[in-house]
Amino acid sequence: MQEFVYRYTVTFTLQLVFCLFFFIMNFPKRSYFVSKLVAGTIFYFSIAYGMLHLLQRTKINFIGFDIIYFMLLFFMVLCIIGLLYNVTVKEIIFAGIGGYAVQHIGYGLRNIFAFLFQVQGDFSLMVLPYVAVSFIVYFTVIKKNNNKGELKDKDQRMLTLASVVLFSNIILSLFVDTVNSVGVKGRIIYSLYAMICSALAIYIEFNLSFQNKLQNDYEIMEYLLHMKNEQQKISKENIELINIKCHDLKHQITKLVEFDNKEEQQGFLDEISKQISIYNSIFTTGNEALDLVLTEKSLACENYGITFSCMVDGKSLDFISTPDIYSLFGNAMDNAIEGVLQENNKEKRIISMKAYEHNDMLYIHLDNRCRKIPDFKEGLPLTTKEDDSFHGFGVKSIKHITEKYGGELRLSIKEKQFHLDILFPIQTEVKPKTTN
Amino acid sequence: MVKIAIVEDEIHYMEQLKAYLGQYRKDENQLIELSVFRDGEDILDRYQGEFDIILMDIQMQFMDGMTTAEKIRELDQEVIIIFITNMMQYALRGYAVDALDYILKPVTYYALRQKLNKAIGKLRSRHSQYLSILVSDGVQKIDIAHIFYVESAGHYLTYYSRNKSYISRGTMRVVEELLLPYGFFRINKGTLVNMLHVNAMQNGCCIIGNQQLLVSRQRKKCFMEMLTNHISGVVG
Repeated sequence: MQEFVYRYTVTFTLQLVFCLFFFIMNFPKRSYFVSKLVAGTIFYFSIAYGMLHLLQRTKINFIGFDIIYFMLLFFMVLCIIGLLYNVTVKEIIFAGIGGYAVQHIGYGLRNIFAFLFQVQGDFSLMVLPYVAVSFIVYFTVIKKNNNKGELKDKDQRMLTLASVVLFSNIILSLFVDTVNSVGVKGRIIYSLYAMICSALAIYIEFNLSFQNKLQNDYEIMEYLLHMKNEQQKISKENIELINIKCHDLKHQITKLVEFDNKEEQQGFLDEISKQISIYNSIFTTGNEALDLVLTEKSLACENYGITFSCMVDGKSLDFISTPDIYSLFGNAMDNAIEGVLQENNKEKRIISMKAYEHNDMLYIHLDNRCRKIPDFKEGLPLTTKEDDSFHGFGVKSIKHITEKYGGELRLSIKEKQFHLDILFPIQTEVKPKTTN
Repeated sequence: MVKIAIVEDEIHYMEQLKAYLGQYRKDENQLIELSVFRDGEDILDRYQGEFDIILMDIQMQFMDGMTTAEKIRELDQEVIIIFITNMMQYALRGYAVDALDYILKPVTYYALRQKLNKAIGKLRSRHSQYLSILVSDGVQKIDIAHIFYVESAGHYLTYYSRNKSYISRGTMRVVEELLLPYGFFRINKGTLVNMLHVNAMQNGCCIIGNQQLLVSRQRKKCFMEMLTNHISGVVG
């Protein structure tokens, strides 16, 4: 057994590295890549052979040692990847599981051929199955998923599940290989089983649950955007109604002046005029959708005694679709209004908004006075409301839209002021990212 | 010492602003030299760019605030302009004249203080600074504001400006410490960028000039923070 492992170390390592290649080929490299690679390789083989010598000296023929040995090799390869590439631990584990699964499929394939055609130790058997499987997996799975950039964000539970499936299979394979009573037929059947299990692990990695969860979130977001859009249409009609009404009222008022008892009339008219002018805060930012949102929200501000100031270059927002504008600014304003309402001193109820171009970016800023400081989780504030089943969605929606257009969102608190900052790269062609 | 000009045609509001500034002077221990003008034309009359901050009313009788600001901008790109108005729609175009912000009437002391703090903070970070580096054939003096980014390789640093680059012996750590207060940020192990020249952020890279420089994952959050701070401080 020991001798086999000795020879196999090199071939196994090379196969594993080759199979890993397609998973790590787009990883960003760290500095001093080559020297680290050389150092890592030397270290790797030293430890490997050191351990083998140790095992030989103890002369115990325990199958468990082989399992530990291969796990150690696998672990060292992952460490070296971490040393060479600038990626998260999750990404390394993801690549590692994927690579080892591919290698194991190749191993199964090799076994099937070896036992069917009674060949052993043929050089092509050490290479071809692995190369073939690597390419197949690459073209059917990896390439399709690479564009979505989803390799970056792996669901921990799925990784755990995939590794359980894979490693229980590998460990059992090792047992099967070393037990002599399993015949050729048994080995072939088991190899098939190994291939299926490993393929399953890869499938889990790429396709299960995580994507469903994402799909779920996406659907919720789209639904909410749709709802907001509908809501805004209603608001638009309302505002137009009000405008018409006011227009009529004004005409009627001017006619009233022609009557007697002018002093009384005047006082009354002044009152009405004042009330009407509240509805006259029409915004002309250069972006119709934004004008609508701001007009509606400013009415609410007026109601609550909130001072709302804004400096916006509406034209720079043209690349954002209308429902997204409603949602983004609607939600941001709603949150801001809620925040300032906690402030009892009306003088301090201030909301300030800015949006303009800076170099090749669109900068959006909104700040409001905020007395209660919310807790933050993953950069988003947790809702301070009691019933949180539908709350907190406002902020998630803002984040969703920001990411849709390739922007960056930052929410922070500084000296009792809540700040919302968004930076979008300015797009010359409108091309929002889609997750599907 | 901060030189502030008030341009306001209604005496009532003028007096109020003067009172607020007096209070600000006391509360913040900030020396203020105040000049008052009754109209846009008055301030333009013998304008010599001697003011740091201008508090400008938008609706004035003879020349309104927006037009005045436009004309002032033609002469002076540096002065900080803060609009004062009672109508939202007029101030919306404030960005077109690089206004820092605006305050709605009736002006509260709190609001004025907030904007003034910001304006004065901005003033403090303005003067031209130079960096002297040792190059192969002597010493080179570079205007810090012209440096786009600095890259390190081994024991050498390369300073990139618009059309030139300079190579000097040095370590990233030393340069980083030196340039940090001027709005420089290290985006990855060997690159230090000038916030002033960041054109855009895209796909985890920051774009400077026509270079795409990778921002390392760990530093991305901090970088965004610095960038938004910079932007909100620079233009409004």
